[in-house]
Amino acid sequence: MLTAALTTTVAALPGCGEPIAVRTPAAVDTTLVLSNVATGVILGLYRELDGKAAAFDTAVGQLAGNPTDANLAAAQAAWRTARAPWEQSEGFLFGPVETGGYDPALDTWPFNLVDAQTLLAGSDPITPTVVASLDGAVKGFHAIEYVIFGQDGQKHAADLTPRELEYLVALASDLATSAHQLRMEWEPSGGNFVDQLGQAGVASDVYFTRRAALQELVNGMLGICAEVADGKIAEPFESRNLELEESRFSNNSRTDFVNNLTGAATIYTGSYAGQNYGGLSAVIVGLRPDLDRKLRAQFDSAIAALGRMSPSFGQAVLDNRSSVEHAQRAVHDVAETLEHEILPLLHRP
Amino acid sequence: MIRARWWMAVAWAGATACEAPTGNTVPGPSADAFSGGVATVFDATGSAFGHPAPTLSSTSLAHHDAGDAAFEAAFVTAPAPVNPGLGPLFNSSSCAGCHTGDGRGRPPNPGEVAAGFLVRLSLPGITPQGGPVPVPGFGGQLQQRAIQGVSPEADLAISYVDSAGVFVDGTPYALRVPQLALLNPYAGLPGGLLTSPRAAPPVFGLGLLEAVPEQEILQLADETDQDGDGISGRPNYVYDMVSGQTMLGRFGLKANTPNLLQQAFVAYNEDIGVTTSFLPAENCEGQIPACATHPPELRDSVVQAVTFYLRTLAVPARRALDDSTARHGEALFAQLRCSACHQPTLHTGGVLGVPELSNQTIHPYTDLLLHDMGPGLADGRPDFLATGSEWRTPPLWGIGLTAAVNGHTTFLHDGRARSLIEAILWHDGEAHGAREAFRALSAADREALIAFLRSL
Repeated sequence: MLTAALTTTVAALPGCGEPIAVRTPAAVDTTLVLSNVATGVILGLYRELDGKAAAFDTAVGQLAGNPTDANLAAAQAAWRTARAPWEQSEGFLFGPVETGGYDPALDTWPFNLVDAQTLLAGSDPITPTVVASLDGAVKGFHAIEYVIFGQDGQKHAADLTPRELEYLVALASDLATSAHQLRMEWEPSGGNFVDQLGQAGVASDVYFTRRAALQELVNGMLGICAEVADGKIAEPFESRNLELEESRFSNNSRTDFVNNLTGAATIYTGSYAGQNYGGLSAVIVGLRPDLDRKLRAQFDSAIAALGRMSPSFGQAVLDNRSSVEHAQRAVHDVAETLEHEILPLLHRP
Repeated sequence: MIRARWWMAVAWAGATACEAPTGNTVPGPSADAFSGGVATVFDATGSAFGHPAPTLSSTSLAHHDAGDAAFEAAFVTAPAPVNPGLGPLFNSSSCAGCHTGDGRGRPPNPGEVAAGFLVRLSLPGITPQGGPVPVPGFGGQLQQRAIQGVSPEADLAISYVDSAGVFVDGTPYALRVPQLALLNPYAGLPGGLLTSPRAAPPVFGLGLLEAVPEQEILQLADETDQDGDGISGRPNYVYDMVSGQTMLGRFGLKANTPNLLQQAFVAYNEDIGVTTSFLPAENCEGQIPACATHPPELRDSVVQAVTFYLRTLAVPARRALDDSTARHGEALFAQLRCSACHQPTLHTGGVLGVPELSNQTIHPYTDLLLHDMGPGLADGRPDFLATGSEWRTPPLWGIGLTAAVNGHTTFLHDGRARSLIEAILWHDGEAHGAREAFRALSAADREALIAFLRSL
């Protein structure tokens, strides 16, 4: 069971006798890597999410003021646009997004249809304050998805009731508020979580060692790989039950999955929005250039394989199952490398 | 949550390669990173509490993973194709909604709807089973959420007043004293109402605690303080709902729950409003019309899977073993007699259905017994044999990772302590002597003790 790399790691554990010589990531400045990932990639993506959630809120305002099919289509497009950075940010589900309750507020699934219908059937005003106090399953991306796409994905502007528009306006406002607050948790001018990660082992109350922070990056990538392969894909695939498909109202699941893996890859490569900030790759490439090439290629393969599930994820689950299995396997390959080759390299004091 | 299996190899090799030397006068581990024995994982990140025990067989691992998915699953109002059965009254729509990252909840901030925090209710007296008397119209727990169209039982509001203190060296400190209010109750609250606010405790390592032989726990008890050290330690004996027998209580902040199965199905019922064959009546049945009788909302197999998940969550390894400050703090922990209740070392016997976890030496820093913690911490709400001022010693393993996993450092049953230092300073009653000894430490020694706790 033990590989050579793992033996090396064990020997480097504190309190376990004589440490043996290991090749360490010390050749690169890991503090700089962490700081660049935090500021360049993570904060960058949260800023993008904030901006796009605000743009979606604006599009919903236009739809509510003038409920035409064109304005509905614009709101739907703005929802997809805002969802992309969110799904990418699922490549690093740690820190405030988890501890501050942002994930359930933005993206609880399944959507609570019965509660939403009860709310819509009532007569109490639906304000952003009311929505803020609702359970996650009645707000966020999937509640909005239900209102603007409809259960069958065939929503027309004429179908939108005044009550639905009132709900939608409050939902969009709440989404924008949550996205903004999440960004501010990371902003140096706000909660400054960039420094908790970037100053790991130096001046962080959260990560007492740089190793812990580097491991957090890998855990984030591993976590989304597991969720995509073993949850989001596996559950509808194994049961052939499309009610288990997450973004089925909008038929956006395949794009979600591609963005999930893209976000993880961004943490690794450090390439975001046309800039290279230096990701975890900067630590690995000096130790194992072959491993760096392998993982980059596996990310590319996984993202490509997810994109080849056609004509849609839902249809592929029913009619093109080999494309789904292939994509699932490709995501597993990334996870295997992260778990069995990348983590052991980092796991040293 | 994380499915990485790489830790397996580390724990295996380490368990054989570096058995800890013990045997000094201090009861407890020395230089033993393996806080959970073979069920130890090396992860000091936000995922630290969420790993399966590394030695699980592939069959056990599949069972654990099924429980993991169920622990994360968000329930919705029935009827629904996926996860129906939420409410009508609830505290959270999922297990993970309170035990985020399998970790610790905190009190709500002003204006925030509580998550990971609830209030137990009762009236004076005891039931035929020996437990607290439910409050008519409210039951034994306040649900501050409800499905649409149903009123929550009440809103929670917690305010604080500062209480100033001073270390013996003259350094001042302030503790915050919580004041709980139940606002906008849907019906009148009776006079004589007893309340006990609770932050959700971490859920890892519980299978190991479940497997500590009863005799080992009882040997630590000293109900009448025969040894005269001011520290007694009493077992709680509680009602086992499945067998109908009285059993040793191990779980819950007052040790009012005998085993993890009961912990799981009571939480499904009380916290999420999900009925099971174990507790087929909704938590609000007989109180509100929306609480109709219906078949159980969750299959027994899911309850069993979640129970198995709780049983097999691993313990994060101790860190900073080579840090002299933390090691000095460890010595102080023993010198101050913190370790009299926060027992560093226990042993597991056979673990039901999980031979992988059997016969381990573990370092949970608890005796699983009740101790009188004085009037300041008292909730005044008895729970089986636990008095209104007794609490079960909480395990300290993993406590240094609270900020990483949960983004806060609030401790004690209701999260009133904003730091480990404040948590120590709240100790009273049987821990009065230890607290006073801590208050008399130099600033450097206080820091060392905290450094030790942060290494757990």
